[in-house]
Amino acid sequence: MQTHQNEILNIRDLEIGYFFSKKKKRSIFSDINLTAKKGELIVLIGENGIGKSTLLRSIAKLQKSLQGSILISGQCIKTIPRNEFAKKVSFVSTEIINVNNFKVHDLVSLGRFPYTNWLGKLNAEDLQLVHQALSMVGMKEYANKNVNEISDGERQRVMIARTLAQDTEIIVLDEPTAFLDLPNKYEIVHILNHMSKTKNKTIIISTHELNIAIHEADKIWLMISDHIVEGAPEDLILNRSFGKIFENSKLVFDINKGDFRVEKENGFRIGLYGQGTEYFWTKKALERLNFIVSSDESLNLKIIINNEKDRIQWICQKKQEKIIFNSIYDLSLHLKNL
Amino acid sequence: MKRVLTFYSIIFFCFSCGNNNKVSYYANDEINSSNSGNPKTTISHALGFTINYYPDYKLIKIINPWQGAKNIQFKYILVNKGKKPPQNIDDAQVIETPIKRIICLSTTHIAFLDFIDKTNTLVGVSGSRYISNFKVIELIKKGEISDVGYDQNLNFELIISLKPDLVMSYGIGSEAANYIYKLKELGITVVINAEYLEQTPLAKTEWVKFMAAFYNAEKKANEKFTYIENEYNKIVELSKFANKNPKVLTGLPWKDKWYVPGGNSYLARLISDAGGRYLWEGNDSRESLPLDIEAVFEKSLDADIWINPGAAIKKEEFLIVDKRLKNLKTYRENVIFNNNAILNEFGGNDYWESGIVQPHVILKDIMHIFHPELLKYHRLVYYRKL
Amino acid sequence: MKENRKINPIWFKNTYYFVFGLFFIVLLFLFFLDLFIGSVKIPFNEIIKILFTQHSEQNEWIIIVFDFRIPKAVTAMLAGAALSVSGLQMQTVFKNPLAGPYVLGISAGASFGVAILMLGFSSLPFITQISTLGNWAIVIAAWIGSSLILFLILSVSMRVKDIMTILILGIMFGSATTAIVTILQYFSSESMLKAFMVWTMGNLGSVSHAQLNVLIPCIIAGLIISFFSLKTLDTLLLGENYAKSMGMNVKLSRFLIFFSTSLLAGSITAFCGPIGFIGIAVPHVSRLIIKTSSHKYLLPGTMLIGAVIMLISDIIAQLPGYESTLPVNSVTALLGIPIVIWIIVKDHKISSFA
Repeated sequence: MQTHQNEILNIRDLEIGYFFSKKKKRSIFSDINLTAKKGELIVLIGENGIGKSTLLRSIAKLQKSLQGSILISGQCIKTIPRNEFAKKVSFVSTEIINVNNFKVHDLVSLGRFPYTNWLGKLNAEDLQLVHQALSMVGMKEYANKNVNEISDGERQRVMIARTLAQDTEIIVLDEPTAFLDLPNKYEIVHILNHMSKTKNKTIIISTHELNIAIHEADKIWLMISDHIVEGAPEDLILNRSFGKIFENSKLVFDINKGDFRVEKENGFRIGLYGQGTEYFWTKKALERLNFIVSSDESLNLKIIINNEKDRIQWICQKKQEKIIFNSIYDLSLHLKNL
Repeated sequence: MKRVLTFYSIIFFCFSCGNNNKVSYYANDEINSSNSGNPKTTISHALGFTINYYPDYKLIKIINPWQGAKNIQFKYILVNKGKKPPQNIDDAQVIETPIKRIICLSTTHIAFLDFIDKTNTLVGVSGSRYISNFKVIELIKKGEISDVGYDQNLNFELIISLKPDLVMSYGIGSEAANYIYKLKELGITVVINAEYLEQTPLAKTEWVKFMAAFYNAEKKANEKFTYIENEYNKIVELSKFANKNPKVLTGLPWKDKWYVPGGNSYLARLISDAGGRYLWEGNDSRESLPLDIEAVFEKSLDADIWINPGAAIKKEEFLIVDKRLKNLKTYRENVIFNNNAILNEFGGNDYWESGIVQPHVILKDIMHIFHPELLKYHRLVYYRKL
Repeated sequence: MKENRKINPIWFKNTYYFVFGLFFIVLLFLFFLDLFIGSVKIPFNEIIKILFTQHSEQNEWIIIVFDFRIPKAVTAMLAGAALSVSGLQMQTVFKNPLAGPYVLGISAGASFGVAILMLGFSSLPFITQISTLGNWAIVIAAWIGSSLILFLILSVSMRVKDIMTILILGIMFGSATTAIVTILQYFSSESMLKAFMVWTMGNLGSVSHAQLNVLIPCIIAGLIISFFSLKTLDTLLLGENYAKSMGMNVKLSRFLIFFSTSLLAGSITAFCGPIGFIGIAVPHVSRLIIKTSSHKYLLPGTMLIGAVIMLISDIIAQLPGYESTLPVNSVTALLGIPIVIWIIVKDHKISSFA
């Protein structure tokens, strides 16, 4: 198997945390054992405060780890000098960049820092890489615009272009999709995926967007209260790991649907008859209203979906009484009054 | 900070008072009758005070006793012990004479005391380190005279415990008024001696008469003063026989500025009395002029004599302050003199102490510097060659 | 697109060189103007004659031009360039538009050293006042004072990660020395107090030729070191974390920037006394003119504009037509304050950091 040949990142028995002084330290997470291969898109998931940022910063050598080792291509990162390391790992943080009168092109060019001379002069190869980086994130036309004059999503793409220009094997991004709207979120992740596949780069991101994680990640690193598991998204769903993420909350993971929902107690049972997408979404609405949908024929309360003549109708039948509704909203108002 | 402000205000006043400082000149006092047979005092030079004699008391007026003061007067009524002060005294302060215990806040006052042989009445001084008078220094060593601090740091408790009949002060702006009022509040009699504001040598010396009035020692003071006055005038006459009048430079630059006394100032008067030509004689200011170093430099390149170069002791020090001074003719020809021949180890200069009461000696010094041929046998007392 | 052509990098570069050249010519013009203006009236053709032939009708004019005006004009240019460049570096490294060359406590330290010399030593017995006024004594005292503060700050900055901590420390050390200076002022003699006051008002005209021989290399060294920091300064625009992630050695770059600032601002303060406001205002002026935050363009531009503005300040301080002159500090403040206010009001995007 080619497993070890392609492996680029190896984390062994890592303990992450903070040093208050030479002696005093605070451990955030320990016993971390993870691997990553070239060209993988890895998503780090865990609840707030569990240590995702700390882990990513430790990998990017922006923070010292307390114990254990992080190996890149077999070499411990502690032994890699800073300039060399910058050619291997690049980082995008959650910090908001606010610089006036600074061109997009110049910002992306900063990514060439580890390669240029003391003056920062870009040679032809540097310029080409910058150009390519901008193209890959779709910001070619924005090269001469000021960084403060573009939208948040565009600025995020510029920061990613910078890591492309830095030309590293590993790119680490801390919550790159936070503060972005839905289309932009997908756009960013799509770009990251594309980068990992076409350039064979290993991309590690943290996010709260579980949907995106499940649909796009090659591998998920899942931080659960005291241990971390890794695997393909589907693996982690099937082995019930996903369900444990939010153990302490009211959320449960629906393994059939692949999403989280709030666990409802004492739901009223209701019958639902219909098919297709209308059935699917009506069921969602009923569950939202704290009903338990069942196909038990003996139930007193039933909803029948009537889909004909390009018009959907919902018939609420209680015992013998039948009321017709033209929208789920009206239906739900009625049900609430019951 | 307050001291900083004081100095800014002084510098500001220097600028603003340039040509406007008019001090009203009070005509000579009339003397109807003397008291206790003491000769009446006439003031002929000093502009800062007047003495009027009345049957049972003397009235002293101090006029504008600090820089920038306008229409400010202090009145003192001096009555002999046992006599009653007059009724309509308004805002005058009543002081019993003769006084027996005095605190002097300036070393010049000490010289005045010595002039009338009353240093034994001194109980407190300010800044004992800078005093040159031997008698006083002895008394200080014996512990019979105390140092009461100075300016903002006056030791009020000590002053009270010394039980002075009089505290003689000098004022620099309204800041001094603060501690003067404070002393008055404590029941201490304070008078202001504004000798330092006088712009002619004899006017300064004449303030001995002010001091003498408190001791009923006018006779002695007048006699000695008249002698000095005559000596002084003789020398002024002598200066007219000089074959040439040298051009005189004063002061020392600091950074970009060169402060020189105005054409109407004390030093300018001394220079002209000694037959010299002060480079700024045309100027009519009594204050210091803050001139740009370039302008002074140009004017003084061919000055003949340089006197009073700040606090300099050695010629070499000039180059430390500003190397360009070596271009001056006076520097190259070594004709530089300063009035710090008599300095104590802390820098106290006797020029400002005994020198104030010996203006004729100072004038002789300067005359000798300007026209050595006229006073061949004089040896410099307060001045020395650098 | 028209908009793209307008901010085309090649267009920008050409415009930059053109403006740079223009300012250079302005600098030369102002230099000669400064030579011409002074409290002694020297005809313009005489000045030219003196400069090129070293002869003149009046001998004293030669002395005035060579010993008074030329050193002053040269000092003005050096001071303007040095203070502006160090101010620019401080604003970038601290990401603060109000930072200036003195945030590291340099001016406070220099005042401290000079105060101890002039106000403290001069009241000791047997020390003559004049000796404490000596030019080299003051320079050395100022240097020792500011080096002391700088040393404290540098040693702390090596241990502390957060740049903000260093900023606050600089201010604190500065306040401490100012407090001690106030105490010294309180107990000092009147004449020394006045002399000290004059020193704190800043002075371009009393740097002798011998002193220029020391000042010029210091400033040149400081400027050269700042050029070595060009890349790191640009990278610091993104903040120290990003700079670290791109391979920058934060400790070394901080050290270089602080060292350059201390050479530049410290030397000028030692020889000329503290000169305020230029270091804060000029980087903003140059950002307005050179519309970029990239230090490749900003650094040389700031140097030039700083020299120009300082020459203008000196010319104004001469009060052409009057016999007295103003202290240079008051002119730089009077010039600097309206400039910054005008820039802030007119164009909100002046600082690199909102």
